Amino acid sequence: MRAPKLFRKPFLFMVLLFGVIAVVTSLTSSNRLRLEMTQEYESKALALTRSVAESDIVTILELDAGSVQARVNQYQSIDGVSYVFVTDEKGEIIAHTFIPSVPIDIRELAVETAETLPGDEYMQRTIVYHEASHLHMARPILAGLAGYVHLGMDSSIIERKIKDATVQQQLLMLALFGASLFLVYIFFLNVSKPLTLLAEYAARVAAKDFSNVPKINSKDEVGQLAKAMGSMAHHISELVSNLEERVRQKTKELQEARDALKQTVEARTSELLRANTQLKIEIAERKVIGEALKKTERKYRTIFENAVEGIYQTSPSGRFLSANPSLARILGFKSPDDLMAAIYDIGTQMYMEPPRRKEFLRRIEEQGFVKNFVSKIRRRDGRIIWIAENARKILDAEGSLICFEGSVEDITLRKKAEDQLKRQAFHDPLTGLPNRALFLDHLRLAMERGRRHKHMFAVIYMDLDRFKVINDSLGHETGDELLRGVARVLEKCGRSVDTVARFGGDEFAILLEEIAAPRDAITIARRILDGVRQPFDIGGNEVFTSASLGLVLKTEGYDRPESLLRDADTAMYRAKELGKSRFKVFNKKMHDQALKLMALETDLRRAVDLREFEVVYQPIVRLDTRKISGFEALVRWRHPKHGIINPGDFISLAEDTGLIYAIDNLVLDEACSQVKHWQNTFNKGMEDKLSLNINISGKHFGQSMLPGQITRALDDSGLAAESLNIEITESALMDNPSVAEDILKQLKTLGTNICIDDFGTGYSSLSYLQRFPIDVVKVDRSFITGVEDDLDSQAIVRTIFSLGESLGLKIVAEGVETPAQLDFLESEGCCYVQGFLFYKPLSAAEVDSTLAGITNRT
Amino acid sequence: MVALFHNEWHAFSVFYSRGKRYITAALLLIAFSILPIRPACADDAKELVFGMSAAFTGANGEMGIEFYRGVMAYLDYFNANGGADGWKIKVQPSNDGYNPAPCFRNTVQFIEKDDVFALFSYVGTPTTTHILPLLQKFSARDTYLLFPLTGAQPLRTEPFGKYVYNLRPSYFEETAGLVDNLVKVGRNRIAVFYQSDAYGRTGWDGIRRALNKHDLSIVAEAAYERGALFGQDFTEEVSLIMKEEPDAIICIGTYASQGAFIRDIRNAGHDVPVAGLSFSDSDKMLELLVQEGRRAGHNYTKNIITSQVVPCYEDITLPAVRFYRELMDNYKGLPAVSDKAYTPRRFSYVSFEGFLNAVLLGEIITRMADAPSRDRLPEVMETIHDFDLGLGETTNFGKGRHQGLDTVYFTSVIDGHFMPIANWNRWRK
Repeated sequence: MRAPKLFRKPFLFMVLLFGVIAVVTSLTSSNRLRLEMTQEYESKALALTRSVAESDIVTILELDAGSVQARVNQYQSIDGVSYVFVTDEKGEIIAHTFIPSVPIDIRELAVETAETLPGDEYMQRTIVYHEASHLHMARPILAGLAGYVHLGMDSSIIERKIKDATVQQQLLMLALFGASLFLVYIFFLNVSKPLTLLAEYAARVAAKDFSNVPKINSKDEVGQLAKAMGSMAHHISELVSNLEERVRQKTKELQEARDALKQTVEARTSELLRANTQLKIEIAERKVIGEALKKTERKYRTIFENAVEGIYQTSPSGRFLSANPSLARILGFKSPDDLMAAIYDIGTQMYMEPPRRKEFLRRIEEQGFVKNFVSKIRRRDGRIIWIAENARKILDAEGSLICFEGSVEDITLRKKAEDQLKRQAFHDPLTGLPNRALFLDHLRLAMERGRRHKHMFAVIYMDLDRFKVINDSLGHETGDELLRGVARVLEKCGRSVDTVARFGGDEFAILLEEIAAPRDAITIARRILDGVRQPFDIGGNEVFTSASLGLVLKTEGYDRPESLLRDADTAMYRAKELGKSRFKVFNKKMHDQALKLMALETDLRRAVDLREFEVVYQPIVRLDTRKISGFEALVRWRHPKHGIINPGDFISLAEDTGLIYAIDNLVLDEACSQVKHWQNTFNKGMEDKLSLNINISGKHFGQSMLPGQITRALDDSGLAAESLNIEITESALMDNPSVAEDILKQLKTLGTNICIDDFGTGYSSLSYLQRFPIDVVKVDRSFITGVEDDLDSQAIVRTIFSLGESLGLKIVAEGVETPAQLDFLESEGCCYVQGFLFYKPLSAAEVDSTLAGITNRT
Repeated sequence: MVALFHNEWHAFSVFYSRGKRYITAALLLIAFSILPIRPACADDAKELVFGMSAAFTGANGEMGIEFYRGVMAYLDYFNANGGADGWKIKVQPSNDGYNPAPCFRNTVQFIEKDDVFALFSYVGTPTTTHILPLLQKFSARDTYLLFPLTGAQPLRTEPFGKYVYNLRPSYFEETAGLVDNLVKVGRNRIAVFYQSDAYGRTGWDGIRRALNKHDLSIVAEAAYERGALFGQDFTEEVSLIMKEEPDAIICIGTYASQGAFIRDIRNAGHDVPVAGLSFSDSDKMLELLVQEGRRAGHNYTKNIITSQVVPCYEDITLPAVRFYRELMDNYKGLPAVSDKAYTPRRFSYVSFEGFLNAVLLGEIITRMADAPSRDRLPEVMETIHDFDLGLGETTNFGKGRHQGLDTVYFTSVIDGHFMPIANWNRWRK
């Protein structure tokens, strides 16, 4: 059996590889052997010479040739040593191993060595002795003083050994080589046998002979291949027989199918005939549909032509390509044809502002469409209208522009409505005057112009005097009518460039623009005053009114319009203070006052934070005992710079700024605990305890939180509620009677007493005394001051006392300063007084000592 | 693969060498079981054992045998006559075949196993010089070598000379005598044929030194390898030496080599005098040359000079010679290790030297018979002064003197025997 061709190359490769390995191995090993042995010989020779040189120094020194010879002979027996000899220091040989005699060249070498070899070295030389290469080694004894040792080693032994080793190795390699080749051959045969069997079987399978599957039972890949091949052959044979069966069957089926087809073809032929007929019918139907399509087209054309919106196609150059009748109508043309013939440049002929066309083109170029593009248009008849356009680009298949297609809507009416709305936003509906926002806008513009052009302007702020009274007494409709009348007056007084505005209520403002001198503004202000003083005929009644005006003439230097208006307002208030129906020009002093007020406000805020307030107590004296029955707590502001400031100078400011709550509470808390302290100290076991009157500002009184604050103050101090009198003014009650009633009820529920302060100054009906649960009435000091010589005052005081008596009210007279006043009051049955006659307001410490004095006296 | 091969080879060689060792061990075991080991110094036996390593076989074998016979001839007599105050002397011979290594082994065996009293009558320069370090090594047990058959210098000088007691003169004395006599008769060109070992080199050195005294030097030299037999061809060496036309040739060799050299030089047609030393066992050499001459029809015995360290055993005027001849005639013994085919010689210079050695040994033991011990040896040796061995001259040892005799005798062949040389003028030139 031969190995298959498949293995011929690996086999050859292995032969080559083994051969190369054998050659290389023997070469390198022989080379290495040579090196090793040469080195070994050299070192051996060196060691031997040294041994001779160093071990026999004594005998050599004695030149005892016999002993030296004995030693030398021992060395000669060493393997590889050919000869040994020892010379004296002159190189004369004293012992050697040459037989029969020393060769002449070696004798010469010995002499030469003695002459030339330095004492501390050795000589190594290769010489020929007995026709063989020898390694000759010489070494001095005692640095040459005692002589020299020479030794020769046969190098040919090295060569022989190398030869032996190489031959041996090569023989071994040859044997291994042969054995390996044989094994490889057997191995290949073994491997290839199943492959050959499989190949033969594969050839049989190709000839459709599936019998005699070769049995290969190895577990390696060949075994798997055989197994796979066996099962594959089995599958193929099954497949083939299956296939043949199916071919037979399919042939039969085909035959049947052909017969069936024949029948089908016949049937189809008749069907085709039927279809032909059907087709004809369909053609007829198409004609009908075509007709319908034309109708539809007409319908859309109708829509196009009858649309309310203008519909068009325009060329990029600005010419109409098509337009519907609506467009023609919107633009004032008789027909679309007229339109298309007349307009060849939309930009200049149609738009009021030619740049609109450019804008239109830009937007459509950017976005591909425009939406709600609003422009002013000039109709053919010259009328201006507003239109809104929606248009888009029409592109052909290659993406190049064909035309614009769009619709146009006449939005003139809508635009007007919008303007109307805008106007309403900036105008007062009642008078039709610009409102505050528009005025401020104009004012800002005027200020900017003024800054740029040294343009002079002025502002007038106006407020009707007693408008509230008119409104209340004559009704709102009359009030409105009056306002409209005033508005007309103002419009008349102003020039066309001026802006007259209503700020709401009865406040107006006038911006006087482009005045030549402040005098012009004053002239106009006078005219306004005069105009407003004229009687207004409203609903057949003559209504009189007047106005107070504030002017700002020096308008430069303001940053904000609001600041300017504020100063005008300040001036107007000043005018009102000065007696109304007049005008006041805003000046430096007012400005300073305003600044002072602002500074005060700042100080007041700080004062609240730092509690710069202190409470003083003005005793209320019970006349029958002349004893102190209670105190009115009064607040003082101890300003760090201006010293003590009385409530009259800061309460109104505190009310305006809302600081009043904090101040009231402060007083409330401190006074309650202080009076409780006095009660504890001076009223032990007494029935009539010291009472406390606290002033609550009108503004504060309206707050629902007041009862809570009072409750807390009472709880914190432990003061009994019945010791506390809450003093409020008449106006506080009357400003909002329903709220006041509610709060008074709550206070009464707490147990506190209610005291009406400054009674008699409110010009109001006294009926509220019955309506509200009032306990104490304080007669205003102006009446007390007047009782000495004013009969009216006497009468009023007398009336109050009798009223109090009948209503069961406790009446307190305050501001009692003279004994005469006291006499009158006593004679009228007054029980409680308060005033400088007895005590001025005292600090807590003064009250302490005062009370202590009284207590001590009694 | 190479390494594997080497390993296998190595393993094989190890096995082989082991096998060899096993065989040797087995042989040794057998030898021990057969040979009865006697104590070297048993009290009841009152016997002192002396170790003697010599060549009893081989190229120099006859020399050892004859030496031993001379020793034993006297000792048998000595022991038979009551020894020394009852102390018997026993010599234990051991063959070294004239080779240093066996001699070394023998010596170690003597010292360590046999615990000998002393080493006695060793033969040969290369062998004896080789064991000298052992004497130093075992100096603590007072190991001494008595009366070896060699005139080599290392036995007479430091560092080992102090452990050796020689009876015979040195080779230097022998060679100096030869050279002086030859130069005296005008033979200034002297060549040397010598054994390539310590013996040959000592002789060579002695000749060189002697010549130097006359402002001469060796004109030619040739060495041969120890162990050469009589059959060896020395014609090349002969021509090498004769090239320089020497007046005389001094051989430093054994009877076999010197005989062979003389044969070849005579065969080459040279009648130049050939001198030899005492160690060459002139009696044996003469026998060989006579035999060879008889075979070849040539007289090889002319012009042969030999220096001797004992007087001629034919000179019966000397009491020692008479005593020797009497005892030798009665002695028939041979060392156990010698060739059985050996025919003993009646008398010889070698056996006479051995006989004298034994006489001196007997005297020494007698002198310490009260309590023989090794450490007393130097002390006793020093007492040997003006001691008469019956040689016509006294034997003298003493402090620093380790050699008993100094006289060298020169002999030449007359009527088939070595006889003392009466007149050197025979060889005058």
